[in-house]
Amino acid sequence: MSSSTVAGERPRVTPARRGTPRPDGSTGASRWLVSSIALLAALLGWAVAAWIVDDNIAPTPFEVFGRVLDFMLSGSAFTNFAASIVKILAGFALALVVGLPIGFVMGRSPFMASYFSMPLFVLGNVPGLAYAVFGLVIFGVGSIGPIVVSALVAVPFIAMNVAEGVRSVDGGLLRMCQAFDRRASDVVRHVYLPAITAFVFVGVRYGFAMAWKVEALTEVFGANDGVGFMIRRAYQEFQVADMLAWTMLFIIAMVLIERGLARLETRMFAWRKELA
Amino acid sequence: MTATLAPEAGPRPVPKDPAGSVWSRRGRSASYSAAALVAALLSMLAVWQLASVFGHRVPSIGETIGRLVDEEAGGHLWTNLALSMNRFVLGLVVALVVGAVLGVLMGLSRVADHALSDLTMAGLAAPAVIWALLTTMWFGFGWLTPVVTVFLAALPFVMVNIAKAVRAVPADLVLMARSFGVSRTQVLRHIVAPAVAGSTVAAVRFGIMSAWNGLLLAEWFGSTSGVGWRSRYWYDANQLDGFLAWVLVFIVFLVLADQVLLGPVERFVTRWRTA
Repeated sequence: MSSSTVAGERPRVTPARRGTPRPDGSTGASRWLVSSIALLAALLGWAVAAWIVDDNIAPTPFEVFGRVLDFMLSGSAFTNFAASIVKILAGFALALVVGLPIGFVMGRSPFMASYFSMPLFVLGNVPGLAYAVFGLVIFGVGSIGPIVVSALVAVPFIAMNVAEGVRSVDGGLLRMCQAFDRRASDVVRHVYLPAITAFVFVGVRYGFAMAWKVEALTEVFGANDGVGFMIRRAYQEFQVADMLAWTMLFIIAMVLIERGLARLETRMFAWRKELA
Repeated sequence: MTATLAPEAGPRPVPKDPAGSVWSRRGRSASYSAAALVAALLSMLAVWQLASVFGHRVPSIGETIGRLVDEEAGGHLWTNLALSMNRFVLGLVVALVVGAVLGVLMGLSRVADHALSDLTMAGLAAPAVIWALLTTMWFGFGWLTPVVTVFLAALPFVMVNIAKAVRAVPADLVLMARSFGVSRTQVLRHIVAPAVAGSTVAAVRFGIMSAWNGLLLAEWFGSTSGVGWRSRYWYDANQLDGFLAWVLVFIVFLVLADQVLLGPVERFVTRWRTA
């Protein structure tokens, strides 16, 4: 059960709450006012700290924003993020190929569920450092390492959620299909698929943040392009402003993608009320 | 969907009875979950063996275990673990205390929630390697680098989960208890504690995971002692069996912390959900 917590609940705790506004009625102006004041205060604190330290290792917000603008205008922000995201997408495609069958047998058989729970737990808990180093050592500098690593990180999320989706299939529907002699392909197409897709989507959304972080770490250790590689380069050149600028871009991209996925999910699966 | 079909569906299969399904599953699983666990362990070892035979530069099981025994014999295993544990516990405790205070604030006050939620979201999205690299640049090769990284890596996870725990307190039950004159300790014991327990355990669990990841990276980049540094030592010496031996230690630590330490605690505090 702990593995289900790892794969299923960790992300549920983190990004899920963010996507949808809380039903406390506090929308609109007051919310934006408070959060922008808080952000401004944080920036002010940062600026004061940078002013007190007055060193290259603590750049001011203005320098960092300047670098962010530079990266965006020069286009290197887009090429590197595109490179990272293409690797993640490839990794998730791989994770789907592996995770779908695992999740399916886990949902169908309790023995398989307990058989796979330990390996999935280990897969989800290997420190990012280990993934990054082995990605570099085994696959060398290049794109294969980050792709395989993000797939390995994503597999537990996909498999656990597919298993959950298979378990959610109504047994009555299955027996009715049997009674009315539906073909297996029909059962898969009309019973399993609608149930599973929503859960797969949830798995992808929750796995995305984890996978991207580990993927970026792998790029820090060995890559030719991507966000992690740019962070590594800035670190080696001791350019703290550049590092912070890339971090800021990373955070913004991550939040935007998560919000986009959450919105897409509510739109696509509005018919499924039980999916929170 | 299930609800609309339920009346016509006739005698439901066993899993539809929630209490029954839990207990029968638990009874059956006791008998063969051990078998499944053994099978899983054997399969993982087999995959490792295959990987070391066919894979490029994957160390074998024997070499790795041998290297681990050597580390233990040479006194590197426990000294580095003890050093790292010191830093880890220090950073984690500070993160838990600060995170609990801020999380309770976020859970209770809407203003605090709006003020802090953007920053926590950014903290959740930031990869731990950034903190490791930044603290290395800021504090150099001292104890402060891993401790601050552990703190920063764990803090947002603790805050979010503690805030969630606070929001889970059923306000109407507390109000009702109060209007019926239930004492404060009774309310805390029977209404507040069960409600917040689950998310509080989650706060500790995710704090530990994120902090451990951060500790390893911080020691890798900015330390001359500790488990992260030791694994880097083997990596730099191009001895992957030594590195893999340490990775085993990292994983064993997480499994112990999660399954042996937090698992029973979680089952105990959330026992009201199934029983």
